Amino acid sequence: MTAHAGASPVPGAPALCARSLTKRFGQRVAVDRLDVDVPVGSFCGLVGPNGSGKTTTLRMAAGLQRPDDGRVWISGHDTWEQPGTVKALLGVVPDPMHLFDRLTAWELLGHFGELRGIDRGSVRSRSEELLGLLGLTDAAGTLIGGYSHGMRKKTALAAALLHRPAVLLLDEPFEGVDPVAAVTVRDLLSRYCAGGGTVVFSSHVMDLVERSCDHVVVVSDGRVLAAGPIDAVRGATTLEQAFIGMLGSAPADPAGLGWLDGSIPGSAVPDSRTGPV
Amino acid sequence: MSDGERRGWPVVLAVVGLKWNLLRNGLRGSGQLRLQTVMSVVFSAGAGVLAFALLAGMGRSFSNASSAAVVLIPIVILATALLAAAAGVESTVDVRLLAALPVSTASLSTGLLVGALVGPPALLGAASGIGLAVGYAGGGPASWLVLALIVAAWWATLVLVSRTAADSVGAVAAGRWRQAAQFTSAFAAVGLWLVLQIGSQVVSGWDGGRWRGEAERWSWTPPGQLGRALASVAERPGAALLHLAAAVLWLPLLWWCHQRVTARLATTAPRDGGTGRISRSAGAGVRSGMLAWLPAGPVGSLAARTLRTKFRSPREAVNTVVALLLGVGALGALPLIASSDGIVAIDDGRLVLTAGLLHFAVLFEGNNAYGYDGPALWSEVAAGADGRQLARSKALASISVIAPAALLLVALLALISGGWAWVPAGLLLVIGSILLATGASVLSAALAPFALPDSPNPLAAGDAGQGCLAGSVLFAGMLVLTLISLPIALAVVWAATRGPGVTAAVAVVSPVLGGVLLVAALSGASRLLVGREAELIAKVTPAR
Repeated sequence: MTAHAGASPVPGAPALCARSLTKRFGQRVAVDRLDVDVPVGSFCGLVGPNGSGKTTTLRMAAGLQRPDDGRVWISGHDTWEQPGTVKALLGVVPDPMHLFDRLTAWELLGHFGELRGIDRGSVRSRSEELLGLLGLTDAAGTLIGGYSHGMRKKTALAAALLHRPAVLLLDEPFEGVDPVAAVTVRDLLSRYCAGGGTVVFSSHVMDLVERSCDHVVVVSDGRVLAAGPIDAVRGATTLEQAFIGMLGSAPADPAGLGWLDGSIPGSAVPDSRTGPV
Repeated sequence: MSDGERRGWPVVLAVVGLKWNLLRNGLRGSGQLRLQTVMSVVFSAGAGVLAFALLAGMGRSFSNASSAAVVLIPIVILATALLAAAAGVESTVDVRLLAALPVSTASLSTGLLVGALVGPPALLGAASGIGLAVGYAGGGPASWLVLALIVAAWWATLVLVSRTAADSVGAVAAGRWRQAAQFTSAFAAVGLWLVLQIGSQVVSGWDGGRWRGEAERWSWTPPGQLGRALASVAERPGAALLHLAAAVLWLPLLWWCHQRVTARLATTAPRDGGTGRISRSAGAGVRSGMLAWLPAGPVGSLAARTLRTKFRSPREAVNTVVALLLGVGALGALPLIASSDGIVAIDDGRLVLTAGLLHFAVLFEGNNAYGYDGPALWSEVAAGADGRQLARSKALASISVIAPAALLLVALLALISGGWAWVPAGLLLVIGSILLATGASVLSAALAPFALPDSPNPLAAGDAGQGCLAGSVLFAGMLVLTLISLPIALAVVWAATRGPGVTAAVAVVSPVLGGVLLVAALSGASRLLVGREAELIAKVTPAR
């Protein structure tokens, strides 16, 4: 059962489509006439340097930040003209991720389940499964305010998946999540995609995107530099090399920081063969 | 003290510079931040002018000026401590962000204290000191010199007392005793109200002998000694200097306390904790107790969440408890206070009708409902909650909190006065009052939502102008409520002279009008919020 029985994707429409999407903060253009299409069923990574507009793009697509110009559609529905339909089809984990600190994970999921019109039995069983899979069962009865960053991410992910959305928009979903849980989350999302769901997630970790995604969108200065199947975007190189090449800038050379080279008084570098000094 | 730690004036000046930059940048930030900063300056300056006029006038023209200084200075210091503990005269500098720096706690604490002299609240403090100086100035150069020292001691006392009180509550609130901090903060607000209400009533009836007697009593306190110094500075500067020495004896102790509190605050969690296990909610989707009575569906779910967090979030819980205490407590206690002065007869059954004044508490409780939700509101909007559902849920939550208290108040007033015959009229009035005020608060929350700061003190309102903005919105709401309810109040006053039956018949208008206005307010709030949920989230997200 899905919670968006009354809201269904438009057949043939991309899972996420943006046209001339623009957002300015004062003089700064965060997202600059961005055009992108993410096909249904894809596991899509949104990559770009810091301040490239990834978070703003995802927030505008999710209906959490109004664009200054342009349009964005989720499963064929305009986010800002059909907000109810789009929100029924979407699951979102934004960043920064504020949750109600004074609710328990159980309460949060119960609350969202009721808001989304899912029957109580389904909410309960799905919550148990999701929280169990994400390793949160023991903590689920305590207030979210006491959770670590990774636990909060996982709680938000569980809440986003609860209604089995058509599209998941995740901003840095793996940040702060432990390696074992990260593998669990990745497998969970892959399974979700295999069932026809679409994941769009932002990340700075190229290796993660390369291993997880079948599609990638590279943004810089609020514009799309490249988009498409990951093999086509990276070509014969790694995604990281392709990314650096697209940006046209090599990593900064720290040659000028000579003062960092001198030895720190009282410190000695341990020899890895003999152990710490 | 450890090696490598930086201390002394360079650290103090760096902290003061940081404070200045943060305040100045408030004028360069978002529109909301600019508005808050400007309002804070305007309100502080206005209050400062008032304080200056009162204190200068007291010193220059009040016949018992000498005794008044000894009595009022300790009371003002006490009120400052209560205000700081209740509202949190919050520091712009988040000490947690400086915790990793190698600076001594003493220097950091001193920097924060000196930094408190920079900014809008300092305007009020400065004006009060100048008012004291103008009021009690006189004599030769020696007197002027001692007077300058007295004013400096006044400022130091104000800063130390307010910061130590606010930070102490904040530090306690961040630990395992947060409920105690919550309790303290709520009762500090009520204590402040009692000091102002009862104090002003009591003092107004004092003659010269009573003033002198009270001055004798208060002069044993350090602030009382400051008053003694002020009273004698014009004619006996030497004696004033001795009184001043006694007045500042406790400041090192306060400074030591502030250092301890600063060290504690620096290591509190960035969030306000919350590791308590809630065993009642053993499974998702369960709403038990009172929450089970709320209707199923989005509005009921949003209202249930609002009620849950309302009593669990320290800042919001304090607001709710203060609203209830001020509403029910004040309306219940006022007849007792006033009857002792012969203003009202305690056995007059018409006292029950004063329950209709509860609407101010309702407005106080709910006029920034979305601000208390904060940025976490995104999750409900993302889950499909629209502005109409949000507005309705806030009304439902507010009524759920206030209604039981209102019934209690009517019963309490009937018990006090023996006016059980007036209970039907009292109930009708209080129902109308709640409906009307809920409408006003729902509309106010939609019209002027404002963000509460991310603060090391979860009870604090912040000194970046939030308190001023909150006060303005509240004042405007109260004004509108007064105007709307005035015709009913006048009709009830007339009917009350003709008996409980006539009054009840007239009071029927109250819930009808309240209901109509609530529906209209909900409609207005929905129009303001539907389609603008993203903007609402932006408004309740603290500016950075």
